[in-house]
Amino acid sequence: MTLELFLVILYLLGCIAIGVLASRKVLGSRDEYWVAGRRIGTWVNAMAIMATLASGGSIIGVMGLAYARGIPYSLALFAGAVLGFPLAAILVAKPLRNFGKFTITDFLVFRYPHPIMRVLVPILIVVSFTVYIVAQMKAAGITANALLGMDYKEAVTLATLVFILYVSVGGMLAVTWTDVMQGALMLLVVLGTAFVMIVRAGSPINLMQQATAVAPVLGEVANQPFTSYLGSFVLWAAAIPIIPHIVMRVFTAKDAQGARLSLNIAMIIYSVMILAAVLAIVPVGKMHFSSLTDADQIFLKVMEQEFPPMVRGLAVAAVLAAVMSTTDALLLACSSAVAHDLLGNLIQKNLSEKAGNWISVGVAWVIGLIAMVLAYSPPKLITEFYSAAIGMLSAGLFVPVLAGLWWKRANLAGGIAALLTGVAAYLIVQYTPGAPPLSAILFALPASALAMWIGGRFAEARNAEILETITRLHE
Amino acid sequence: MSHFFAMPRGDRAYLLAILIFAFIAFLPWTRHVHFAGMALFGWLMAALMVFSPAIALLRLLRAQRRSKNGGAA
Repeated sequence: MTLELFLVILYLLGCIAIGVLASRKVLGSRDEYWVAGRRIGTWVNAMAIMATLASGGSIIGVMGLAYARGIPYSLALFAGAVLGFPLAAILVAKPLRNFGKFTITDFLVFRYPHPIMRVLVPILIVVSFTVYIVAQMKAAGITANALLGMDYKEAVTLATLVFILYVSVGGMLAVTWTDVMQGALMLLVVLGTAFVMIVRAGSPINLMQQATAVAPVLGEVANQPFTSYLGSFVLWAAAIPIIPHIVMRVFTAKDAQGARLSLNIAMIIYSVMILAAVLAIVPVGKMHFSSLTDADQIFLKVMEQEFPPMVRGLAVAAVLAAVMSTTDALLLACSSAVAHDLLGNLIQKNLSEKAGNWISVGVAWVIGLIAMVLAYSPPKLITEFYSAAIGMLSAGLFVPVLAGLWWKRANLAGGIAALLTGVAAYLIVQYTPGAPPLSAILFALPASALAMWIGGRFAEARNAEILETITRLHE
Repeated sequence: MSHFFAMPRGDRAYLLAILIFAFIAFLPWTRHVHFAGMALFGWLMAALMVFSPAIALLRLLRAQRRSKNGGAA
């Protein structure tokens, strides 16, 4: 067995052990399983949020995107994600934490009480998150393939089985513990690699100058239509405040203040990591490997060329950590969307909390295995691929959630109209031939807001009882 | 009567400042000015990534300290 493989196996066994340990605490209670008993501290939650957002997309994908489309494009997309966190902290963290339920669907169904919400929102979440999971699995597969020599499909299968195992039995507590460990590993590898690259070049500015002298396109804003730059920025800024696996982290915080602090601390750490990857590792990759057919391989190529087996083993573990720390949260959110939101009212009414949680375990396995099979045919440029799916989610949910929390005239008709219009407009523009990548959100959000305004302005009066509750959430 | 729930003035100012910064970053001229080989647009996005959460965190910590001191500035 090689040293790299030994390190990876050690890491995977650690994740499973955490899942099994956590399962002893969580499987008996719904509150423990979904939101870790709502007692996660600020710093632990911040690290877990950082690791949750820092996916395979953030390590493998951000560098692939910067390599293929230029650094400014990649930064526009990730700046949108980072900006989304202060927005989430101001716009949703306090009222949603005070709301005190489990999922974003709980809030939407409360605010717009209609079966369409109960059915459509979980379906939207499952569809877009399954795409997100597929992209993460590609990152795991190509990493193990490039650095360990494992077969791509075998690597995808192994990673899938491990994370389904610890998510399904360990719930949010296992996800939080593993996320902290995974976040630390990612930071170590990305910042360590960037540091070595910068020291060798003398300074980050030297590094950028050398790389853009060889490949000027790396620093240009000309690789994509400008609506794609704006679209990718807006898409992620709008997604973060409503994206279920991040919102669930708000529910795990001890209180609203803790939730807001965690979100902002997480983003500072995340930004430093992304900037280190894009401004220090990508330039080196572009200088040494100017014509990769799969841009997502760039980080792996740099690791392979520049570092010994021990560091490469850590890199594989770090990428798997990035993939798993996001995928476990996505899987948990999907599982909650189906087991809690969709089936909750239908079949779990007469079940004990323990039986309900075991249904969630089954759902996690089904969704994880479907995503695994889909990942056997990997997409190109994973970040663009999953961003398009997340765009559909934010097109549908951003306006109903924000208006539901802040606009007193928001009502049932407006909520449903905004959801349906946002998704429909997004899909129409997304699949219009010749539409610039990731620009559909620029049409979908205004369309959704207009639908909400028309519904709120002209449909039936608001429910006074609901408004009273929303008022209390802001206090 | 306002149709919106009230937002603290500091939060409103922060959101407005970020929107103005993003608006400036997306103006056409930022694509044509280069520094160290990269368009100014890219550097402004990088600055936004660091400063937007850092300023938000400082505001939160200041508010926390104020509330611990019983509202005194």
